[in-house]
Amino acid sequence: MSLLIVNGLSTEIRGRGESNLVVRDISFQVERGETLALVGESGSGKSMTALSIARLLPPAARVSAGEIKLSGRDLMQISEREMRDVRGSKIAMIFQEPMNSLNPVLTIGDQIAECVRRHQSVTRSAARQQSIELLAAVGLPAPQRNIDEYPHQLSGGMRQRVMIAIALAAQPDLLIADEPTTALDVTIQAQVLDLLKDLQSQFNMGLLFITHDLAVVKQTADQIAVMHQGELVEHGTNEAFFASPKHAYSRALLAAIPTAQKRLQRDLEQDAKRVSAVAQPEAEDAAGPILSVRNLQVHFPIRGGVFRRAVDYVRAVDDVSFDLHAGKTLALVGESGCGKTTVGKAILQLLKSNQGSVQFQQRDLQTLGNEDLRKIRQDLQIVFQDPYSSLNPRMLVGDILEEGMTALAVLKTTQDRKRKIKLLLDQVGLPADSVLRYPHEFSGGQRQRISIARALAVEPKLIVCDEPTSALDVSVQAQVLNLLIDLQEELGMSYLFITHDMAVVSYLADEVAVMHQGQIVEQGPTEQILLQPQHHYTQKLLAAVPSL
Amino acid sequence: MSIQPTFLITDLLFFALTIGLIAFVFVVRKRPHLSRPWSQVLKSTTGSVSLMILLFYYAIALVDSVHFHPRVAQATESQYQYSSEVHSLLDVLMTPMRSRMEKTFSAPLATHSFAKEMMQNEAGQLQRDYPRLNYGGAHLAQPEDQKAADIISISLQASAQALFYWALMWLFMLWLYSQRNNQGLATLLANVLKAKTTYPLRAIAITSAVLMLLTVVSMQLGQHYHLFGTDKVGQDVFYQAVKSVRTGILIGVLTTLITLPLAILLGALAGFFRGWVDDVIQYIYTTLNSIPHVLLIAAAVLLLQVYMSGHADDFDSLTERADLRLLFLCLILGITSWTGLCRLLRAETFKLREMEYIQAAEAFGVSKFKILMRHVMPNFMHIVIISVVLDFSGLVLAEAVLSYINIGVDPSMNSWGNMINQARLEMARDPIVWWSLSAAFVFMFTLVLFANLFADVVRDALDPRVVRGEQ
Repeated sequence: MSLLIVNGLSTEIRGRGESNLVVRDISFQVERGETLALVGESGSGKSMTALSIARLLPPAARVSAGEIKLSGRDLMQISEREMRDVRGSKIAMIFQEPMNSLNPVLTIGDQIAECVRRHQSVTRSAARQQSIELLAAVGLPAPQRNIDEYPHQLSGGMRQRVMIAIALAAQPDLLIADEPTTALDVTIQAQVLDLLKDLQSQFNMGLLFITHDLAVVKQTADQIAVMHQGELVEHGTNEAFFASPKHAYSRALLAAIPTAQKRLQRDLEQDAKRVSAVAQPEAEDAAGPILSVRNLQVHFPIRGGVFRRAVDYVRAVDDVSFDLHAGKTLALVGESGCGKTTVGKAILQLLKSNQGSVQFQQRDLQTLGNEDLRKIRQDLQIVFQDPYSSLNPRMLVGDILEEGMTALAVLKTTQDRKRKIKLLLDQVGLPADSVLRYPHEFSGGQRQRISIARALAVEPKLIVCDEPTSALDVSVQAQVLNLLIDLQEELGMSYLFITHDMAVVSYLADEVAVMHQGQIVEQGPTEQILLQPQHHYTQKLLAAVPSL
Repeated sequence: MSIQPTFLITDLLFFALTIGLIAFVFVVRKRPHLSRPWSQVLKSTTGSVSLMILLFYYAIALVDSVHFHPRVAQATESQYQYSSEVHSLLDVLMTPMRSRMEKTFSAPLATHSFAKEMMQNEAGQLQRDYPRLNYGGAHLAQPEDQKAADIISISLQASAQALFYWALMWLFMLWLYSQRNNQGLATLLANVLKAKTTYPLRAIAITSAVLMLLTVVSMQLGQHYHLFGTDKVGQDVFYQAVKSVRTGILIGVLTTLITLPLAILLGALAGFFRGWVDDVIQYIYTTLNSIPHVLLIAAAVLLLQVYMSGHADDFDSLTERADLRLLFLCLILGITSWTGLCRLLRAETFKLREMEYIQAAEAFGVSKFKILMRHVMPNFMHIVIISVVLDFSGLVLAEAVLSYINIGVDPSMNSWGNMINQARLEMARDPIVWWSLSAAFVFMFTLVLFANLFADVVRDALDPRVVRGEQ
């Protein structure tokens, strides 16, 4: 008999007077020792499915039909009290955000031991011993010391390991992992995925793995179930799915993942277009790089003592140099905390740098006065990572787009600006009536388009793109990336593209600079870096990327 | 001229504020994106009902702010003599209640006094008994038998009157509406009854009916009885409670008017610029916070009293002095109460200034001032609105506490605080004198409750994230 049987499950969310089916009649099974990956974009209902199984739905939601059987026991029929036992001992869950899932005021040991003692009647010291063993099992470097530490003393990856240890403490039959690696860096993601696989075979658990990342799925899953708008559109084995996805949505999902091959295809198409057009002389290199950064250093003071003197410095950016040529894209790659965003902000003079020079069109930005800097801001713009915090929620889209033009006096008359806004919306593919709407009325991808339009409004020569697609679903990411490439071809801007995603790099970068702990460890043309990485960190980074 | 209008300082401020509010409404109406959230407020039942009740209070305060000296007698052909007393329009509307003074306490709707007195009966003997009231139920020959029937008949007549005018008014308005929208009156009426209109007309109609009933019935009963009884010196408690509306509203509104600019400006500056600006502002409000507010308020009010007694010639009447004291109280309350909001806003600005849209604006070279005005302030306005309404309730209540230690509004001024303060001693009496306290409580409670309800709806409507149910 299967470990978990979900049969005809439907879940609805009741709003004001109307109810909305977020999960529609889905069925699947998970065997012991098997991994089922539930794949879909945000809002597809995959998390709701997981919460329905654990009966942890938010108050507004409820299961409207279907049955869920765990080892033959119908979870819909038992009382909440019995369910609580099931939740701890039979089903365990790991969530996306390891910081929020741990109690910050209890030590790691307390939190694991609590779980151990709830399910086994053991003494305090035995529970502690077991906790240490669990921490060792999930691969924490020093379990004897870690057990007395607090969550904030651990890194993101270590916290996620602790979460896994807590989940395992009860020796569950079924582990539900809801995007367990999404918040982690790629090298740590690889470790956590390996760990999950090891433990699964060791404990013979069933694993329900929820993710949006198809590359991760390919590495980990035995069975794949694709969800789209609450429905299960495809269900099959890993090999069969990747060999020939049947449903149109699955194919679209696969096609949306940026890869180097797709870029080559795209380049070929573009080349064909270019051949038919008049050949353009490539004179840009003669003019020198548009942006040239030399020995840039940004240090943040750590203040202490009564007078808040700087006692030490965090060297966020330590001696970074690179060149960016007009009309090209330089990708600045690195994991979180490596200082890549700081470089971007220092170039835009949003942060003061301690040393080094930033030359933009042969002018050193750091020596410019306020007035000169204002003028040059027109040529330097930025697109941020989070489309939710980068647009003022109280301003109309029209006002957001107009702000830069007014501040930099790009277009003098209101009519000119109105016309330009219309053009911008058209360029980024938004309807013209967006002008009188607020940002919250748009989806994440559309908001990122507004951000891009805002930067474009002042016709910049260089745009710093700070992880512009990392908060977006994969299909939306593809649209935004293509938009950026199209705009570059049309308007001839340069991009400094800050990202952690190697797939994105291979898709659009001309050159790559790899950053690690505030320094650039390797840089060069994209093909060279991706195919023949020299530095060991680059090799490690590339090896960790799950590939299709 | 039979009257001589006078304008107290608080009247002028109140009118200015009213004109400002009306101007705000007109500005908002013209801009679709601004009026959208407010129309949402009106579309919600709670929102429109509480707004109506707040407006009703506001209207009472407004009517009570039209002051004048009435004419006493004509001395000569060309010269009129004006009373030194200042009356308001509300006093005129409530004429019999203002002037009909009893000797001392009497219970609500009573015909006899609350305290026994030595009286001579028909036989000429002295005896202690409850005397008849001078005005309360004075038209009844046999009060014990007739009172209940009389009260019911007055109430019923008044109710019928109120409902008749109410029905006329609503029919007329609906007719106008149906004419303008080319809708049949019958279908419109059916829609209203089934609550199927865009704006909650049924709830508004019911609220207006309740308000109208209460007003007309209490005014009619007030002609013959003391609806809420009388206080120690025999004044009508209902009249006092209604007069206190203006004091309560003024203290809430004017104090807020003083608090807001201080809190918003200093909070935003401290949070946005940090460094020494932040240090200075923090220093100011921590210092201010470390002095007990009661002490500051007492000192300020006493200072004013000393000043007024030193310059007695500058103040024409008792009312003017009381008015100045009220204004001063608002001022000092405002100065002591901006710190809490300022702190909140400073913290919020800290958070906001790290938002990426502010960095985007900096990348455009937008000036600091414009960033503050356009990106920071609109994004903490919901905090301002919530805290304004909470403070409003708090201030109305604070007035009651301050009156208790005699540093509140002038004792000659009607206020809920003064009413409670005077009733406090009688709480120990047996049987208990409960009506002063209850009347003040009911009036204050209604105002504060609906102000809070209104604030909730407004906040939900103004915060775009809440409306959408995102995050």
